[in-house]
Amino acid sequence: MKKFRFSRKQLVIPYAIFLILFVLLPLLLIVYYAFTNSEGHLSFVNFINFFKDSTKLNTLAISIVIGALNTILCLLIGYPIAYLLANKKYNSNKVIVMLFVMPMWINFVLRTAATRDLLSAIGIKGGTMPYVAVMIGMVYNYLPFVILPLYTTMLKMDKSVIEAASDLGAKPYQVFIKAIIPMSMPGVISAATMVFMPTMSSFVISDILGERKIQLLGNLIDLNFNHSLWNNGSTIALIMLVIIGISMLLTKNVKKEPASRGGGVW
Amino acid sequence: MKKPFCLLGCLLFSSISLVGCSSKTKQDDNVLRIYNWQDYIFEGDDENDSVIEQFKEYYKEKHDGKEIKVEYYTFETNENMLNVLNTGKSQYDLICPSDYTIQKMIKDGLVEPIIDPTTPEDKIEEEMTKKLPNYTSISPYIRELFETSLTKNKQGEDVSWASYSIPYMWGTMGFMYDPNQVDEEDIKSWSVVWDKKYKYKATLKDSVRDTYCACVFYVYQDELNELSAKLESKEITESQYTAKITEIMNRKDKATIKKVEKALQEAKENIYGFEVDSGKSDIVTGKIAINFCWSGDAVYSMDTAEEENDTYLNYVVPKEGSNIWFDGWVLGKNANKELAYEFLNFLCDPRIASLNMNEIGYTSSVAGNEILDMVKEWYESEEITEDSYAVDLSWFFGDTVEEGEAIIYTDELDRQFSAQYPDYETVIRCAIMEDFGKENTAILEMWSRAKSESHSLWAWIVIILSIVAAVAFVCISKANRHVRTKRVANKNKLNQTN
Repeated sequence: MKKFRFSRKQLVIPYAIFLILFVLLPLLLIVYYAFTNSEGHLSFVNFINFFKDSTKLNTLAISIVIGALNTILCLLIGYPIAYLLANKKYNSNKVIVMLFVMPMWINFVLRTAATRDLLSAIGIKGGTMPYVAVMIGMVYNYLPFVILPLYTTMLKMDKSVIEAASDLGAKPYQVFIKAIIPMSMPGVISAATMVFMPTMSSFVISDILGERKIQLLGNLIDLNFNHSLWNNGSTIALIMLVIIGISMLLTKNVKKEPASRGGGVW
Repeated sequence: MKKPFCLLGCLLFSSISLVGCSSKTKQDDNVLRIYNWQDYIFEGDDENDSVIEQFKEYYKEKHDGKEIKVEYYTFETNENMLNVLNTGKSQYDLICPSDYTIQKMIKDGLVEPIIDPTTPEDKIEEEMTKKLPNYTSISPYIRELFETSLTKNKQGEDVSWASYSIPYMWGTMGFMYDPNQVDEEDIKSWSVVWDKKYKYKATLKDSVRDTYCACVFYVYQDELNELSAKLESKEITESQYTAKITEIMNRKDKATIKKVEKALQEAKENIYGFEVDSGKSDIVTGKIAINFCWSGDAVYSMDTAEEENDTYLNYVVPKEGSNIWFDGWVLGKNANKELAYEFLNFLCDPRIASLNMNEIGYTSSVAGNEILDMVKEWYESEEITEDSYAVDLSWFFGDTVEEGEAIIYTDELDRQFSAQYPDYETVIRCAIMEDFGKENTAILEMWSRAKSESHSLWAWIVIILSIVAAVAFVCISKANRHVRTKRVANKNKLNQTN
């Protein structure tokens, strides 16, 4: 018998077990339930139901819009902040970065419950304007996920390129559009993927801040699973998975573009 | 195509059941596994041990020092509990679901009978007392209700609830409200939720079963009002009245579902929101003024409001009728019957019941002197004057206390006392909820339809526009680049020729 020899490959075993038990198996179960009917026979009835049901499609549309809106708002707010933070002049000791990340250390449900009280104290009640309250809560919760990746990409940005651009006569806005944005694009994309999908599938924020008047895909999945309609719930989950896949593929293509343009500068 | 999928499924299931099995030890005679709602039992204080500990002691004394183990698990909603029972290999000896879930579990064969389900109605009490000597300390009204309410079992036979389940706690559903903001006359009807006067002031439950009932009462309010007029003019008897309300409340035909959907959509525009747990604190802080709630939660909120804000809330059961609910203990499949019976009997002991009731704020199904004394101590006026209201609770306590004892004089109505012990007029207009059964999927679809955004065309327009814009942007930038590269190439060529 061959003697057991420890090699670097074995280090992967713990994670492989984790991967199989908690990632692969649940995923396969979802696929199994999505493609079977309530009697356990193979069928596409769940998918047909999904695309025939205007409620589910409308929920999908609303979720996509809220997800996209949240991504755009987070980017609009987060981008300038990340730019300032990456500048050593304003952030010499990294304390401000800490301040922006700190909300993430507090439990998410607790934070949202506190947001609810805070919002209703300043007059934005979830009962009267659920969409406004939910959007504020979403932006608040996902802003750190935008700032962090943007901040790290901007730290690595080549300052000489920016200097060169202005030396060669580019106006400040041209420098921004032609030099800074292309260089920070990888950060923008990873920020967007970290915000868009979680927003669509989140149900805690929409439940707590929207006083359960807003139904996102996450709420729909929750409802179906809670009432033992696992096949329906799995189908919706799988459809969301496909949407993630598509959006990942799309962003991959976008990522390549600046690179093909000669370093993404000109 | 079919086979590999099935095989995959089998593999997955077997691996999961393997995991499930290994965590569970083999059937042990000395272990009692209880599956109960969260915070639904007395957990001990400075003076008394928890009910579980007391039971262990009691059992040890009774059986010559035989030690037992109690494993206590909790769940949050009936639906969650059913999910756990359906998935896991986890097995429980005693489970405490609500009325409509008990029905469903009996129908699905998830529970074992306590006594032979074919026992005729007049023999049930005798059989029960043999198994649980304390059975007769349960309120005679509730006992009768459980003995006479029939449901279908897995074989399709009509069986009485009593043969499967022991009542534990009960209560009504109604409105808790802030009397400073809400008119007393308005709150007596379900239509208050749809009343524009109270826009953004009320909440409904984010639970399909309960809010469906509220909508049904609103939709059929004319019919229900006629019914109560008939009762007043003695055209129908009380039991006919209750039976008719039960029929109306449990309607689930297509027309009703449609009406409920419309009502629900209107309600959604008018209410503050749906909630499961936040309502009972929101009404204390004043975010809302009307909360559709369970009587036990109402007691909790009234207590908190008094202590923290020095405000007084009221509870009322609408005049059209409402739901009376029960949580009862059932035996899980292959339950350890000997221990389960002992524990049920222990719970029916009025002393233990009063401990439980004191802790959780809901009303115990157990009657008897201990309970009556406790209720009197809590609620009876210190001085009985002309202004005191006399509330006759003999419908509940029946023969478990001396005749004429069960009249309580109280200073205030529509408060904690009325929430815990409604008077007879209120109880007869309360009906028991039935399981949706086959209609479950249709009603769930209606629910998510009503709750989803009705004006979502704009969302589609936004999506399509942005897709078009993205495609256009990509095309234009590609075209631009193409032109540019061509231009550069031309220039290069020119340079070369020069």
